[in-house]
Amino acid sequence: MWFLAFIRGSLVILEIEIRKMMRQRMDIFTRAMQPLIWILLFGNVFKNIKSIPIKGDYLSFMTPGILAQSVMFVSFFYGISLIWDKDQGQITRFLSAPIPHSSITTGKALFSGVRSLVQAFLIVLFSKALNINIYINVYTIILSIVVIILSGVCFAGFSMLIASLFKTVEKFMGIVQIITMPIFFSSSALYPISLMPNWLRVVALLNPLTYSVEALRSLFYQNNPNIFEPVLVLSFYSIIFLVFSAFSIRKLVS
Amino acid sequence: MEDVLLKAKNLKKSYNGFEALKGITFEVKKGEIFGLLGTNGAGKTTTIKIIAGIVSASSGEVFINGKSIKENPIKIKSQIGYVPQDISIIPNLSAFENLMLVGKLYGVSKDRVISMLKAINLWDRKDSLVQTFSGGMIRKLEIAMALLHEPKLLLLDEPSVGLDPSAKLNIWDFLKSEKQSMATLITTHDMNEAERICDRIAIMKKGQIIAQGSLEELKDAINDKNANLEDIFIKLTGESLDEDTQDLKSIRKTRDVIKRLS
Repeated sequence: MWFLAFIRGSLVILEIEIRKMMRQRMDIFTRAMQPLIWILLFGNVFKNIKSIPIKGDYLSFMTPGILAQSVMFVSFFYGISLIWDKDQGQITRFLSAPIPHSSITTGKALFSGVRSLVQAFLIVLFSKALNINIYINVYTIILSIVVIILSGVCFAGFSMLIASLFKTVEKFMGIVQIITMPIFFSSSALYPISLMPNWLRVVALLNPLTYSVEALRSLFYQNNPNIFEPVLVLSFYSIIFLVFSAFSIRKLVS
Repeated sequence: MEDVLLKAKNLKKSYNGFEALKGITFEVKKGEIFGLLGTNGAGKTTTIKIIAGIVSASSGEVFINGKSIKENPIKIKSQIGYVPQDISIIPNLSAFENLMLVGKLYGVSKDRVISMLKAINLWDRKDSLVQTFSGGMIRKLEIAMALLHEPKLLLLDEPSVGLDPSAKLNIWDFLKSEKQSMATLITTHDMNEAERICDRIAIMKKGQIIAQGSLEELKDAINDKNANLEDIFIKLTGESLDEDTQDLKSIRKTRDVIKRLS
């Protein structure tokens, strides 16, 4: 009974979020602008730096990194919806429904994954329009969908954990702004791990964004479907964040 | 034996050392509307949130239809309808979507959603976004959301805050017409509301129930047959229910609800 209620709850919360998104379609396009600017400005400057030890061109190397970064940013800031929903009374209604609390955070995290797919689609489309050389075939499409949804779930889970602990928009924004940039720059999104000093390599290896980047880079840049290890690590982080956020969601209303 | 649907037994709740509830006990029977009356901070909302399974009690027990809510919370929650004080509808979805999505959480059929929309006279507005509704329509829709799965226990947290007098009357008539099939627990700081619709009332102060019973029984408690509920409340608590006795957080919350309903 618990499992069926969990599935039902997660799917209904996912549907609610999708319906809300469909009423605010403009938001999808405005949020897709930031990664495009990264590729256009940052990428076009950095491609001229010859000392970055990569095979092939820098824009092809960087695009999967920017894709992962974009998923992370969208999902990280999505945790704020938990606070808005709390302020609007929706969380109390969900908590009083016959569904496990974990289905509320799981449904929302799944939505963040689905939402990230839309963003990813726009970035891939834009990259192709700019003639950036990334591999697009059946398995890169299918496997990248898995990685993007998983990354969205992972970072949204982390974000909801922060939201449920800090409870207010102001505190949440402060914390998220402090931690997103270090997570981004300590990952392999813009440069390979081999360039980092030893201490930063350790941080990069603990950083879930590194695994999201590596999986997408393996698919789009190397055309290599062997992404078992990063998917395993992302799954581990996702479960940890979802379990903790499910436990702490009650704190929002107490 | 009378049909007791809700039994709260010695409920206590502490937040970081502050005792929000200091051991309250009451029962609500089927067909009865039971009111928790008190100033903000008396512990009404904490009580209703514990019964709804939203927060846990520090100690004490809640039984619904004879079963402890700790035993099987998911099954017990399917017997409860809850209307929070905050406006909990999703404003940028339609009335039908709001009702249908809540229905899905409780496994309710689409036919039931349609018949409920017709019963509350919102069928013609089913596709309108809820943000275009009046405060009375929103509250009615929220109560309909709570009644959709035909609960045995209905919990209402300050349901008439922010409504104009005619919308209040409308909601009260609706609640009275629905009350026979279930037990209803309502929190309020509106004397008029408590007097008009509650069969029995518990007066709360600082986390305790200081008196409970029908209006007549409460009059007997202060030995004044001519007293109204406000007289009884002031005599028993030494407080009034005016806004100037409330704390800043409570006033802000109430005004936020009023703003969103208007």
